Amino acid sequence: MELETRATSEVLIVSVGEARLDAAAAVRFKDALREAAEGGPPRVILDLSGVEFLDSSGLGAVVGAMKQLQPEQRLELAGLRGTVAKVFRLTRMDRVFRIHHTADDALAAEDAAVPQAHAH
Amino acid sequence: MRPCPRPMPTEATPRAPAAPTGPPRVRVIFQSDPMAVRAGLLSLRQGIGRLGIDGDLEGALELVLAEVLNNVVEHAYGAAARGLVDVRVGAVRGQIDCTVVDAGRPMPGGAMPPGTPPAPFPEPEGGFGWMIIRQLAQDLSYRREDGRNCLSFRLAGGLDASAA
Repeated sequence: MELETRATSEVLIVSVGEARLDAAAAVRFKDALREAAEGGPPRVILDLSGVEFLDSSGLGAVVGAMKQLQPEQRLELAGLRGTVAKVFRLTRMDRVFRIHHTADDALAAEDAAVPQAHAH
Repeated sequence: MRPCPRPMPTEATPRAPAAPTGPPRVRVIFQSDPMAVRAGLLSLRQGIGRLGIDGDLEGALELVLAEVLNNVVEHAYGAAARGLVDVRVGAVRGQIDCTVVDAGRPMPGGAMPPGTPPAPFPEPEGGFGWMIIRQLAQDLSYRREDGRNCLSFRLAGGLDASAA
């Protein structure tokens, strides 16, 4: 599982270098994200702009990864494209995560605790 | 109700579109394991590219099929067993017809799950598959016939509930 990370003192950006987060990738992804975030800054931004396909297994892994962060850490998402965004919308998980258009938007955004509103 | 296609082949062989006449069709047969499902979806995507289906519908098909196939792998055959999955896709007037056949266990209670959303807390890590399938697919039908599961559905443009 290829995860690329860059960190400041406040934010860790984790970019997923795998085109498909499906049943074949879910467990490895969840483990890799836990390792990447361990002991890291409070905001963890998962950049999914490199992911072109995500199914409910991949979604479950993202939710699972969020739940295994340390108590002071929070998982936010960025760069959801096409079908990936659709899966979050259809399952209403877009209401659980703070979702940014891009990772740069996430960096520029203030550390607000309230999920952003979504236009439907 | 459409007839359940037969016969189930005895070996995993990707096939070219079957009949030279009639609407264009794509058929892929593969083993029930997650890597084979991934490869099967990718080869379907290549075949579907020739059916002239628009991108949104193609994305919806890939997603619905992924959910259906994951269920076949995890529940019909189960992690301990492997079997074949036979997927047929046809395109008629911009709509997609799809049939998935496997020889695994029947669905619980002989019926498709309702796809009700999982409880919101604690944040659910599963239970989304049928929620997705039910929102995207139309004319879902499931039959158990001669020891095989036969699931079929249709996808038409402009009916994505999430876009409402």
